[in-house]
Amino acid sequence: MHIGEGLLDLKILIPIWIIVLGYGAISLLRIRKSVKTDQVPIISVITAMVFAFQMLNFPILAGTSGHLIGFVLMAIFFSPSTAFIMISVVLVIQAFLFADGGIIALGANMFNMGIATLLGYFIYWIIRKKFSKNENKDKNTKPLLIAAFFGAYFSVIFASIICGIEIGISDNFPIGIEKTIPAMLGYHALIGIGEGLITMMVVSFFQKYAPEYIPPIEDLPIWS
Amino acid sequence: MDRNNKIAIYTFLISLGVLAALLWIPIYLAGPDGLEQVQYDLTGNDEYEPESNFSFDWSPFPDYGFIGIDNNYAHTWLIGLIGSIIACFMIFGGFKLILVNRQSEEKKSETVKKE
Repeated sequence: MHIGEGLLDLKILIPIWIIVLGYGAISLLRIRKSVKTDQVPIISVITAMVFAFQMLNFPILAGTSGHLIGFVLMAIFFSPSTAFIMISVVLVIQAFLFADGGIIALGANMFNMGIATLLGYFIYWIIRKKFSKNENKDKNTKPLLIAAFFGAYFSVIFASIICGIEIGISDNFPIGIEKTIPAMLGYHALIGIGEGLITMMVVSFFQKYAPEYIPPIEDLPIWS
Repeated sequence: MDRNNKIAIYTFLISLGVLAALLWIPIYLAGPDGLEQVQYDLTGNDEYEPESNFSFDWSPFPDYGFIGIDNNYAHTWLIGLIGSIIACFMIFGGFKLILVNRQSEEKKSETVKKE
């Protein structure tokens, strides 16, 4: 879902950059308070893991492929603000080193994959809060995994809707939102399944071998 | 070994496992991604790429290519490895920097309080 150079015009990009820079500054201030020193190695390797997973394309329909975004996966372990900084670093590396996604369009890519996806994290938060009341007592991991799947799935859906709106209202793209949104949703409804499954797999691995990295319900951050 | 470091090493090994999978997954199956496919579908042009006044031509590995290596599997794997390591170190360095600043500020405020 990396938007390349030239697809969006400045009337869309300027406000998006302002939002992204403001949100980034707030996120940096938040992580200064919330991140502990001993979390830094695991934050680093999970970012590396998401980078590796983003390179792994999986076919969805004949000729089309999808790959992980990874925002909800990172937010589940840490917090949405930390995940935003992590995904932004991945996107900066991809844009500058590998020309994957435009430099001017980087703000839009950060917005789509680090802010629009926040709604997916909220779905994870709601499902987990609602259905995981006895998680600690019963050692029942099903609600956590279901929440991870749906949170990740809907993060892709929300990101694709926002991306569809951006390219649909852009003067540089000849087709309007009445066609771009359904087209984006069609493919990403399938890509989201892959996102959900990968997220669920990684969360399940950590739940089994290192459960201390998954915040318990009582400490589950809604944003921070 | 400290449990945190152990988990970090295992997680990095998983990443390497994912990258190793790139050596075996047929890349030709993985066509354009969702957004690229939408651009193709709606414009009817397989090569649709709008004109831009700005272009960044200094990427060392454009389109995940590696100069001198023609094998798709090998260069994708190498790029994945390089990118993962860079991502890991950038986050590690960045976060350490933020936290070192915080710690020095905390120390300063403690000394002020004591005085």
